[in-house]
Amino acid sequence: MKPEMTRYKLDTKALTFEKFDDELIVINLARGTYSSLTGGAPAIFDLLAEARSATDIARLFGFDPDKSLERVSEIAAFLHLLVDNGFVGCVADGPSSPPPPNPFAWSEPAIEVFHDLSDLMKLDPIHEVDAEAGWPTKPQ
Amino acid sequence: MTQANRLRLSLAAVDRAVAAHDDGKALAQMLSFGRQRIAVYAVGDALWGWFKPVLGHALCPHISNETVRLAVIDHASHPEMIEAALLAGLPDYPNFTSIGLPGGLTAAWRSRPEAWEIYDPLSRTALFMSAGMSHLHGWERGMPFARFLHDLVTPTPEGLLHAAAITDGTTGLLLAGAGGSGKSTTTFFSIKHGFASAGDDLVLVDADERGQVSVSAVYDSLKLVPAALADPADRDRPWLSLDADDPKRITLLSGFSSGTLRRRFPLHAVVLPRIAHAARTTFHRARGSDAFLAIAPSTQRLFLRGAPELVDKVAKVARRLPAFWLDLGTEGEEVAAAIHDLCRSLNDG
Repeated sequence: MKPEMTRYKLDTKALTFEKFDDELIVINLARGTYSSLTGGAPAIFDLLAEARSATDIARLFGFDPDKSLERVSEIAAFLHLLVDNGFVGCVADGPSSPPPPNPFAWSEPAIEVFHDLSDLMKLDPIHEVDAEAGWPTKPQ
Repeated sequence: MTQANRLRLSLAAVDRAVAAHDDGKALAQMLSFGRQRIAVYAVGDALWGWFKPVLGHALCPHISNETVRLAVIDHASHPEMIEAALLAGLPDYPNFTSIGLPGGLTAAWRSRPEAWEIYDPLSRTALFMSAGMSHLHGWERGMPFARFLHDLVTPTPEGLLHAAAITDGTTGLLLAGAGGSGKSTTTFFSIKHGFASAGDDLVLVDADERGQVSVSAVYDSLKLVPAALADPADRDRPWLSLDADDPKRITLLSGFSSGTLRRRFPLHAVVLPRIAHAARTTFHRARGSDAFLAIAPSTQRLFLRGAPELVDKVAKVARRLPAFWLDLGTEGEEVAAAIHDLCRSLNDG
């Protein structure tokens, strides 16, 4: 399968996110990173609530994937960044997810990652801890 | 037996020992912070005597049903109290180690010298035990029980945030930013020019959506490096040393004037000070995400625990209040003028 056809979906187990106007802040509690998503990135993040490929997403932004190869590559590269930051995971092939009700206006997706807390922040104790050892030990 | 149950047994044993101490004469002092009520049972005077100056403003007379019991024990003068704490069987770690367990039970301890903090939300009891002030870190002396207070408010609409708060009596401002951004400097020069404050480092913010965002004072303190102040009168204020190796000193907000420490006031904006090295201090609009990023990571760095709840509260504050960058100039006295201008523009707007 072509990389552009690989489908991804949000993996929210360790994520918490907050929207401020046109900016989305995503916190990865397991890695201790804060990320700022701007431009088209928040819309792509929202679309990944359902499993989608770069080709699917390009289409939802109104591009013809066969004619807009550069745009599809750009989206695929951004999806790889989301994978690298632990926001999404690959999913097995399956039926296509339904399109959202409204088309999206394209703007270049951007992500800025802050690693300030990555050496300190761990999983939250109340929600995911080992019952015997306690925080910050992950459950077996 | 699970770690959580061992800790609960230990806490109950300490609670019984405190109740039996000196025929039940352990002194109960009531503290009130925002919506929180804490009954402090002090065994040994050393710890409580040190903490009281920065917490004394919160003393109140009545114990309510919502009260949490906090035992503050100086085990240097009362070594018999250690036996009960040791029931928990905490591992032998020389450095401060912190754990959280299901049910919201939290504990922090170090073994050399022995010091324990345990909080159980189910029984609403807590323990702070140490071998006297000399065995506490400087920041622990300046912000007593901060971890416990954070754990206590985690399930409530209130949040203990890494921020300062000032008011001119009409307009309340939350000053946020990482250490060294200028929160304390802005607070200091503002209160010199008539502002009141609810604290310069950790304040209790109530983000309940049913009411206005408001702030409550937790610590009657302000920390600065006095040697960096230009005015000799400022350097000559009564500054307490927290740590021999730290040039930062602490002074009481209530020591400036009788109205300088304000226990609670509404907030109207988040201000993000930053050192600009410009001649003048200026302000301009910031984004909600700027306010969020100024508060959430640095608060999380302090407490490590309770992240999702903390993030939610900070986001509510950042969404509901307008935010402003405050680019600090080199003239400290000008900071207050800029803050006055900002308050005026918020009132006019």
